[in-house]
Amino acid sequence: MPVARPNIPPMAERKVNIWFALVLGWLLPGLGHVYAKRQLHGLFYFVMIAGLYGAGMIISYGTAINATDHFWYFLCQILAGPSTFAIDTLRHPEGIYLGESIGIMAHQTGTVYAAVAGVLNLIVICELYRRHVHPLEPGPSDTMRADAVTGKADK
Amino acid sequence: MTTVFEYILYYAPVAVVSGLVMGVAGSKEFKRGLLRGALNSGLLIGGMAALIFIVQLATDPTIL
Repeated sequence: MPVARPNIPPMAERKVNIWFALVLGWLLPGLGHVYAKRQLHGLFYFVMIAGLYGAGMIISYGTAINATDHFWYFLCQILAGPSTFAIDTLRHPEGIYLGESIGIMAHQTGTVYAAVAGVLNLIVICELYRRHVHPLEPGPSDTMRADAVTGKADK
Repeated sequence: MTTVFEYILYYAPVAVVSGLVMGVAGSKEFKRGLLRGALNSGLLIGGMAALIFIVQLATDPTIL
């Protein structure tokens, strides 16, 4: 039976309001983890997800978010945070000039980047909830024989 | 063949970030998650490259 390490108490014992943490995780990727006292995870998720989202916006020159032209991508992008709504509202209605001011490849890639960032944020939020409900349960990544690689199996 | 590399270059960062995030999210320990994430990233890039190559080959068989 797995035993919790004494220096890292399970999340359930940390007096964390999980629903508030989940909302924070949607407002800003990783913020929910920081609130739940998992600072390292929170910082990592923020850098990765916000970085991917921002990179998508830069690559596509701000045309990645467009609820009218690609609604399903937009739904995924919403998962990365409420800023998606703001960007879509601020976007000029005729802001895309494919083939003129921006290439199709750049627009397409930026859209996918932002959508994947949203889906990853959903995965991270689900992980936060799972870690709260089952703090000691191993995850899918714990099934590999990583101990053999890191040398922990010998100890 | 240039298009294949162009696509891989464009989409490789997505594969790397996705692999790492899913690896860390799936593990109790951060370090072990990173290790698994690196493996995930490699597998994702490999699979993506193979898929792009097959699609490009089907589109234009003269690329070889």
